[in-house]
Amino acid sequence: MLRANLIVYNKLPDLLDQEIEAGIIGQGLGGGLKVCRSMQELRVVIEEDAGRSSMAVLVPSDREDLEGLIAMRLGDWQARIILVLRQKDPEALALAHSLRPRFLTFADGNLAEVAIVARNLARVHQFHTYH
Amino acid sequence: MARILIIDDDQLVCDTLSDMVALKGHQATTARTLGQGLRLAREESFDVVFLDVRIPDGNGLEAIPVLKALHNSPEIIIITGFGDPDGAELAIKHGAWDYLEKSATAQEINLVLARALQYRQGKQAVQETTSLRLEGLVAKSPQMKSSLEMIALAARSEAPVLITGETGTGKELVALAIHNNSPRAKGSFVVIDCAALPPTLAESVLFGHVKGAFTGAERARDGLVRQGHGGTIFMDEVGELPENLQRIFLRVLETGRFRPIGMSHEISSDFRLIAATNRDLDQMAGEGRFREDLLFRLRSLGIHLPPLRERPEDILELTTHHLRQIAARRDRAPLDFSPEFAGLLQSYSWPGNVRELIHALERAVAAAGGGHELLPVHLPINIRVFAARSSIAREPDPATASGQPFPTWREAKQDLEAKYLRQALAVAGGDLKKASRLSEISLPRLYELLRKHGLKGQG
Repeated sequence: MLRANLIVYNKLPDLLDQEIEAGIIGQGLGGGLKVCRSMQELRVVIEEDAGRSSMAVLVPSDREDLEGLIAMRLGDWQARIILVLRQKDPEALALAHSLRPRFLTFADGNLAEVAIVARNLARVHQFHTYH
Repeated sequence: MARILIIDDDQLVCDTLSDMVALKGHQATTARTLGQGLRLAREESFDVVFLDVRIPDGNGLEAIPVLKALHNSPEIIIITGFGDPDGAELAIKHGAWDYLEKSATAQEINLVLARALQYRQGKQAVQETTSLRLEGLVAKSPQMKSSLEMIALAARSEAPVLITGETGTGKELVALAIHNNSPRAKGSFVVIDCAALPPTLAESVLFGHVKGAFTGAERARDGLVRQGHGGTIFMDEVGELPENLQRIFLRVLETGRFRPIGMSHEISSDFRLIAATNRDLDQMAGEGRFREDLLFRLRSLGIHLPPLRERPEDILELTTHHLRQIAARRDRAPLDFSPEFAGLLQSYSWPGNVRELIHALERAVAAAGGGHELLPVHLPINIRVFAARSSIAREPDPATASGQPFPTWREAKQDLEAKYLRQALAVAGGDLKKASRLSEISLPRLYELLRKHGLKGQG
């Protein structure tokens, strides 16, 4: 089984992260999964993650949330980022690329792709696990 | 286009050289006297000066230092009708690029001019490294300084770049630095991780698709190549690009046009490509696993990043830089580090390169808690074990070095124990409580061990 720390950030109480989680488990990707419901929680997880290599699926709720993530200077954090956007306007897309995601998709798209990409990333890069 | 000044009293020479320069796409300006030439050189900015020696109002050789002292210090090519070895020597000593006779062929003159311009371009790149925006890149070693020169050169060019180097050497940061310092800096920096893309998805992710193009394509998708319009596409792990996409991508590179899946016509994207890999693409091309023509295109400019173990001069600079970054993120003052900590960092081989160093520093800062100084004990155990093993391996074989008999296991263990205790006391500044904390040996046991080895601490 491939293993990786996986951090999911999704402020909205919808089923999206559950769908992502189910897909990841379905891809046989083990390790630890932490779901963050707020920017504050994400900050704490990043600090705890210090010195490890993780993967993060970020699902910003809106443009402001996306800008908040960019302001966190996630580039300094060594995680591989998968970005799931709820907005499709060119400005949001251009902003999203400043997070340098390894994969970018949309919330209304096929979320199974996220799990496949996460599995590939875990296969290629060495990740640590919480366990 | 370069700017060339021709100083010669012979109209025919001026016209001939002007035509040759113009044919190569450069702009020529002529002066028939030395005075006029020097005035033009002071008022305007030239890359190269063709300078005659015998001019009615002066000697060209004597004007070389004046021209070289100008703000933009042009390259000077002496061109004379009277070949003179002493004059040639003097010209070179004064800083001229080359010394040609007027009987030289057009090919020879063009070659010397091309070389001078190439040299000048490289020199400008070096000067420009001081003003580069380099987030996270640290260069004290000659190898990394030379990489910075290449970054400066690449930032001014539109040519595709291939960055090679081991995992963790900072290939993405170099790509980002090229983008940030290029005229495309205001456009997007779009990452394509070829290793992350499953082959079934890759074409759609790269080039997009229209609604209904295939089963499951319920909505149209803009590909990453389109999203990179006006900016830079960073193709990471390019060696993993599926073979069918290598062919398509080569064509996109050549024409700037592509067809999203299911679309009847082509669309265009104006992007600059930077690719990176830790694989040996030449070997892959030799084995038929990577297209040679694509490799040729990608390698218009090549930048190789040396592993960290080959540039130990950068380790402490990188450490200081990243400790500052970590501190800024945690909103506190950067931690100092002890000489022993620095020594250990410099002795480790860093197989994971800069990324491993950053991880180690993050963990050391976390392990130091509220402390003000980083000590070896704060580093990950694998690094400390490596250092300990290396230091023992470096010591001479006691049997051969001193003629003494080979020590027993018990004797060797005693020696090691004494050495460790001495080091712990030194790092703790003689403070027994601190030494106990660092070594994770209880205080009573520490007293006992120190007594056994005849060592003393404080407290």
